[in-house]
Amino acid sequence: MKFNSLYYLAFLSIVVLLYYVVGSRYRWVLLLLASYYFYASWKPVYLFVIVGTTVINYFVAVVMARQDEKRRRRKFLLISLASGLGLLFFFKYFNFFSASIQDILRGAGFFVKSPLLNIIMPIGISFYTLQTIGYILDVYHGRVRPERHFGTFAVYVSFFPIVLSGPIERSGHLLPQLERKNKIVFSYENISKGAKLIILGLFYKLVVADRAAIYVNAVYANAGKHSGLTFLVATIFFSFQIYSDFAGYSYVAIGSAKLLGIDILQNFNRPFFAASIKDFWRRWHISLSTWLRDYIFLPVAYSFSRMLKKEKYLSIRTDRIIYFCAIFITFFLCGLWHGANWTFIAWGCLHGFYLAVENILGLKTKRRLLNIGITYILVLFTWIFFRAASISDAFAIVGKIFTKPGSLFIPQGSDIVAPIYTGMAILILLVMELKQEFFPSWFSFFNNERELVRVFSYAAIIALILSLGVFDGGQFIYAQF
Amino acid sequence: MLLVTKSIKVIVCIFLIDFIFGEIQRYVFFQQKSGKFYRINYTMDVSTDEVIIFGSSHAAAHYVPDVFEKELGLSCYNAGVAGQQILVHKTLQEIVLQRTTPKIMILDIDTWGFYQDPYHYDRLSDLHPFYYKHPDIIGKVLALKSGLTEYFLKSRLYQYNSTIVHVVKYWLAPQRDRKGYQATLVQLPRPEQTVQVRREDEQPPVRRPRPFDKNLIAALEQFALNAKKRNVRLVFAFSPTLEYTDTSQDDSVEKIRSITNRNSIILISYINNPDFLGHYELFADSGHLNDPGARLFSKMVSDKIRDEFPDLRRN
Repeated sequence: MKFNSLYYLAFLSIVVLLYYVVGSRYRWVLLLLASYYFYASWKPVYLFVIVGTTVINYFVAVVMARQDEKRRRRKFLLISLASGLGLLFFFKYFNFFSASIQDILRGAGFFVKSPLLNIIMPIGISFYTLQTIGYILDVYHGRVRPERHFGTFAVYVSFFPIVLSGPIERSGHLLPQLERKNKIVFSYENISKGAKLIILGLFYKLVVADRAAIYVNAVYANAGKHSGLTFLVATIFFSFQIYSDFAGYSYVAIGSAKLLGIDILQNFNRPFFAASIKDFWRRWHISLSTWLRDYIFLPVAYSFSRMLKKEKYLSIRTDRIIYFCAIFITFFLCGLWHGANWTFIAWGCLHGFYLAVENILGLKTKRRLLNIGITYILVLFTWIFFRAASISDAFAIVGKIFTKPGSLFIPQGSDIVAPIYTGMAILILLVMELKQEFFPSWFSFFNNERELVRVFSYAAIIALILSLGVFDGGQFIYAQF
Repeated sequence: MLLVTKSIKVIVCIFLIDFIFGEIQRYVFFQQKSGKFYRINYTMDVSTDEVIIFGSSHAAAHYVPDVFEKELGLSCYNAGVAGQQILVHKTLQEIVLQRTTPKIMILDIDTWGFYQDPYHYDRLSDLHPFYYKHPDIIGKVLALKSGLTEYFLKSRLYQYNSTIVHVVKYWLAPQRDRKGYQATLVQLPRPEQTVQVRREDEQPPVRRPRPFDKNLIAALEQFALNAKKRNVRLVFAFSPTLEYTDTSQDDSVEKIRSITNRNSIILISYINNPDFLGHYELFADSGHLNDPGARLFSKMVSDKIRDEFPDLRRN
């Protein structure tokens, strides 16, 4: 059941209707059934994995919280981490590591055949695994109390608006909203805001992302055929595609939850206007970047700081060494989390490198627009690795962009409309976000005090979706995680 | 109550925008004088040609109406639509037959066009702008993709989804009207290395049977039946190939042959024809003939038709 399908809109409408009919005491039942139904609509057998994850983490948290000794609590923490990360490794990374080991051994002259598993990765496993790990760590550190009600916890793990592709929620933020004692009442404001976010999300996804994908896929599918200039344009299109796809999904997810009176964390904040890489990560996939900061970067940095006692090592300040090591590990894992391919790891490591250099050298001009331009170019470079099928393809593309620009691939005949529509869609998106970023107090369409202007604006967005949206065969990129 | 009144206001606003801008788009769309949609519209609602050619980009690029008109003495229109397969060809045929009865229909067949693949249904969106004119016929084929499509098509804006740039493009740079034929004047360069053929002792690749799409097979059968009912002479053709193609174990070719045999349809196959095989000078790319190649092919097909239907020539 894709977010951009009529089936989802029908499903959501029914759930919202029943949600306000059923009393607050039994809403968890409705949400749990709806979430499992939604999840099973992709592949029913996947349910075993998510239910298994729920059961293990529920009991681990409850039992762990009862332990006074830290050493005992750590044992239960390790059980949870092992089960969650073990499942993730099995489904997502086994074949990657097996094939990589095989390549390494072959490079060293040992011809072995590594085992490969013929399994399909449960959809959303990367997201709900991080969400449950965050919960367990919060319980371990005493930041939150364990959720005693199994049903509420099960909804937290499998909540249908966010289970597939986030935003990755925090236990302290989402669990209190799901608890039975939380009496959420029907409010026009929630319905209005939720519907507006869903409409906006569908615009991002159908008009911008799916349109850009047509040209991007045609170019990247033929890495050997196209010129450097074509790859440059395709990569620019891809930067908008991946943003619109993911942001669109997030808006629909946040809007869906809002219809139920539940607030979900913001995930994007106009990342094209980031003035540094650090700023980029404050605006891009915010739920992931903050999760990585709190559960990977800070603990790793703290561990290093306990190990490295001197002020300097090899004439380098210890705080810089700690930052460099922690940021590199964090973004190595970030890249690996995005996909079982060296291209994603390269993408993550590049960002880690950028952040390290930015921190050490403090590179930034006084002109905000110039900083925005430089940041966009640096991030654009990383998207080549993210999109390419392999490291060798990525390097070939980079080589072409810098040494063989050539002529731009313009599709022939009727196909030429694809890049033109993409350009139009990107222009609309940029105008909208430019206005929000630099001129927020100017005339607002969507938040105008006049009702007629607001109504007309949202009707116009829907009209744009009907007129320019791509309705055939769309899939969210991030669904593969 | 507030939600209900606000919702009604938004819905009314959407209807107004949809109606006004949809009507504008419809008007602009049907003012086109060239391009893919113009050719589809011409085929559906204007053409009274005696010979109509259906098919994909191979039909559009391989059949020259001027040659057929000269050789057969019959008016001819090339209704080939790039990127489309039998579902659209059959739909066009049925709409044509509602209005006129050509003397002969030629269907250029892509042998791979009958296997299961979602693109057959995704590309039916090319028919959306014409839905309001022929809702029964077009609605029936669109329902194969989804029963919800017809509800979406209540929106005028959705009917003309993704067409406005197309309209502007062909308004700014109109195509020359060659009665539907899409001429390509480039020539494929001969590669430096010769094409490797399989050695006699080399095992052929393992053939994995691909499932047919029953809707597509049914559409081909119906195409044949529609022509038969109206006494339209029907010719199925396989276009020429540049490189050798082993069809001996091709399920699709066998299936098409069985349909033509059962319905007494003439099947002209130019697959592996020596007049085209390896003749790079006759091809624009590895799958399509260029103009000289198309003219040669059209002459050959015309000769074949003249032999098969000696009574067809206009007095």
